[in-house]
Amino acid sequence: MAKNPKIQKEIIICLFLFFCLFSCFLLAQDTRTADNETNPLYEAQDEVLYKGPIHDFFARIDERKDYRYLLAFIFPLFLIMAVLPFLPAILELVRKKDDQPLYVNMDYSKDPRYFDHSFRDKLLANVKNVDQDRAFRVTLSKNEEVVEVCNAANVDDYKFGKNVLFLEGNADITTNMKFLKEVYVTCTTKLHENTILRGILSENDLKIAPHSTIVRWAGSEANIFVGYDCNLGVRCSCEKELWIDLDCQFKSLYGHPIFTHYDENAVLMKINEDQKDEIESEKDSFITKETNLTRIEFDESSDPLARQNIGEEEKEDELRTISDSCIVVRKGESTIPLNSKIDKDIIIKTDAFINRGTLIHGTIKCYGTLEMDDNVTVEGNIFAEKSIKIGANCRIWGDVFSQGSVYIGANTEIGSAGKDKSVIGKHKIRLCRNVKIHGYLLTEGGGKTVMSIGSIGKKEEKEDE
Amino acid sequence: MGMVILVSILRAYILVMAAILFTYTVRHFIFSINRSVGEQKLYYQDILDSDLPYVTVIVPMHNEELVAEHSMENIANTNYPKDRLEIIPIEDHSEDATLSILEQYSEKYDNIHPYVRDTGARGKPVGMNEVMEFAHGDIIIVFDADYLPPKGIIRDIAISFLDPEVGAVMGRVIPSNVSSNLLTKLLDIERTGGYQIDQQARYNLNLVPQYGGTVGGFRRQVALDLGGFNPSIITEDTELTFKLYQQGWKVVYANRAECYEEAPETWHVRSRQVTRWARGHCQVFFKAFFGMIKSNYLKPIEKIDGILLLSIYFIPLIMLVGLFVSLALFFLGKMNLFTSVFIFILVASYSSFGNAAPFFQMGSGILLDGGHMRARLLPMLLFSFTFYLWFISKGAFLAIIDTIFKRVPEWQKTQRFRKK
Amino acid sequence: MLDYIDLYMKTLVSIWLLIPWVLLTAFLPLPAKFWNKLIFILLADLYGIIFGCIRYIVYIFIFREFSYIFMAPVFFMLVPFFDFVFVVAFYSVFVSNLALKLKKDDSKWGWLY
Repeated sequence: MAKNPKIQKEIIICLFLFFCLFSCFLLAQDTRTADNETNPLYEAQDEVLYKGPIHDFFARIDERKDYRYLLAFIFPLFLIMAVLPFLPAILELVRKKDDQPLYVNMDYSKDPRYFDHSFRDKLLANVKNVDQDRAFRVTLSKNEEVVEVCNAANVDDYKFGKNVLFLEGNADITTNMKFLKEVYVTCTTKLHENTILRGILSENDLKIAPHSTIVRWAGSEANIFVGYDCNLGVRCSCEKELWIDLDCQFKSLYGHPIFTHYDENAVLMKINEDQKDEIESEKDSFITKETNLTRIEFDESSDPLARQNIGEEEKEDELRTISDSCIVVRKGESTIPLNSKIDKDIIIKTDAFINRGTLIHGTIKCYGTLEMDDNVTVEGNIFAEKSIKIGANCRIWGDVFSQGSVYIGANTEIGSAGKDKSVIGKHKIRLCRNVKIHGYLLTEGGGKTVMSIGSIGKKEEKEDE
Repeated sequence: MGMVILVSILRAYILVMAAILFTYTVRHFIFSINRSVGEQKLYYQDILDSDLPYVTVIVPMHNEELVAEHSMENIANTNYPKDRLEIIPIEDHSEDATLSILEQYSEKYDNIHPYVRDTGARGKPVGMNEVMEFAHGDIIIVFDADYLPPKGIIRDIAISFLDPEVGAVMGRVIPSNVSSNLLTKLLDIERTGGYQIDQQARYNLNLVPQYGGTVGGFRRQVALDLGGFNPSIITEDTELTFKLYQQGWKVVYANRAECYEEAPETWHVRSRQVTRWARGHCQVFFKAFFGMIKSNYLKPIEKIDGILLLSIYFIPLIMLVGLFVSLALFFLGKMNLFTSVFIFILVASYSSFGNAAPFFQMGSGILLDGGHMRARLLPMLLFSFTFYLWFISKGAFLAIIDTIFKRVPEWQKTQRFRKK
Repeated sequence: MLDYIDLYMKTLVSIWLLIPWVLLTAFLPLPAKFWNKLIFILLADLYGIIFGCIRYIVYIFIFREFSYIFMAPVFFMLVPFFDFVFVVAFYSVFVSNLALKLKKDDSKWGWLY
């Protein structure tokens, strides 16, 4: 096909005209080859033709002698119907309404604080255009918005405001305030109870009181402290520490670190509300750990007693290596014994249970549900095709990535200071108290801070599936 | 009696062909359903990790003066940490200004070290084998010279190697020159069906996504342990895919790791390209078929999908033979209803081979991509169907001859069309 | 000729019966209302029936007026092969219309990443 679309168009038109002319030429033919030629095959077929209903049909037409006029209508209709399926394609080739390549953002770069940074950059770039009404315009999310500049002390006047707010100074937003648009604060921000905000960025600390709702995102260039029973929207991120209380909901968090710190009053309230259900469903030892609030620090030089090497107990046909640094465990529900020490990556093709005290110098990949008891240390990443449950007092130095849900027990630490690591659970994430995550947390379903996680029962596995 | 046997054989051939085509159609239908309404598996791009692996980016080049500057500019401006990245463009027996362009970039950027090959056999597998011996990266990422990688793509590809089972990663290829002519538009639709639906569904279902040799990466040491790339096979990417699976590694597909490529703009260039792909892929079939069946690392469903993937470039040849068989039955007067309906089913698959896909798979892909009017070009796939029927069959036939007579095909490069 | 006509008619009728199934499975992954899909399937089948009858008359005319040598190419290129063109055309128009409609509704794309 020619490169030039104009030439391409002309070729198509020429072909179409050729077909029309050819069909007219056929109709103009006034000969029947069977009349002029002696064709034994044709004669033989004639014998067949001149029998039965087909013979009668053509005989009637021959009598009328006007079948060519019928074909003068049928033939063009045939051509039209033959070409018609191509017509939408030809029109699209000509009009080119959708001929651009799929858009790829060439400058896209993974940034957990994208909302905050792009919002601030746009505001600061346009604040110099403020008019006499102390307002300026900026384009956010493809819509042009009016940004009102005001003193943070007067923020209460802007309840239910339809404009984006640019607050100068420390903002102390009183209870039951609702802001339909985003808010930017140049200093510290304090939200009181039952505040509803679409989005907020604070240049300094951001304190969110209990029962508040962030519809889209919240960000701070310093610390964020979140009270209990808050909804943190799509993303909550900060440059320093992000503290979250009990019963908070989230989808994405970023902080150095993210720390689930529960207020004692909230804990007591929760225990009173759910006491009966929790006592029936939880293990006693687990509840004891929750209330003791002790944190076990990992000591790299420690050498737990009676360490065993995995692999010695497995049968040869259940074990297969893919490299020198990796072992593969296949059959049955795999249980790593108490106080084991493994110095390789481990791939487990089924559900797995890692007993307490185990130390793994490597990465774990599990094709089923991975459940880790308390006091397990993994100096690597954890991947699972289903859910991951990490017990209490565990130490994970790498990322946690699950196609199912992630449950993290009390006093567990993930990552290390100065580095970013991630916890990603497709379905949901549940964090207990005193969980510390250095970096990023993301779920498509919903994340929540809870009192305890118990064991992953069949019911929860089905929910995950 | 002889006629009866002949007719029986011919009809049996038609029957087997109908069954094979039906299998492929069902397979592609499952992929379409899974991608459209099934649960999608997360890819690793959302993982934020400070400890990124050391990466070597390789860009094989032979007479690429039209495109070298664009690809090098994009790769050099990546956001991947410079202290964890080295870029090695392979200048392979070029006769144009490719080398001078690479030297300019080498002077401008510290981590770009061109590797010049002007002796020895020419070809991508040979060049990559030599570079892998001295490359520092744990991970090798390969881009073709005409590709335009976005800033974040190296990180998006490299991050998946945190999973210890991942041996290779494949990103998504998007033609940039869609608006050129009918051929590029059809190729864009085919790519959409092949990547957005086919590859992603195979990743979702834990089957066998394919490493495509461009916009992708693999573990350097694993590739070396597997013997590197075979210079006699012209689709080294397919060979690596099946070697990895046979040894228990996995290939993952990264739908969001999108990269622009330049699609062929003439039917002649496309014919050479697709014949080469078919020939190489079918060569791998002969080498990897029994390995896939015997491998202890693969589940039965993975083996089935792997074999279907291996065989896919033989289907046009078998369809072409099937058409002749139907003709023979027609002239023998033995053509029955089933045979004629088979032709309908045969065409119903409509480009369901190679990286292309049946029309319903492409339609679903166009919908997911947000395309609209380009879906109306689907009937034009009739032309590429007949085109592929011939040229892919030719490639498959050549692969059979190569295997029987142990010939080594000559490496060919795809012509570029970008304006200077 | 009778055998040919017999084969042709049976093939056509079988294709008319198959078209709804082909289109039904092709439409299955698409997020559209069932009635819209049904209307398109019926239109495609109706088109197939009308086109099949018109083709039949034209082909019989060609064989009768010119030569029966055209039987094989007409059957292999212009019977089942040709049917698929308009089936795909109907599908493509449906998809493009659906895409234009979905373009206005961002919520449909919520699960994609």
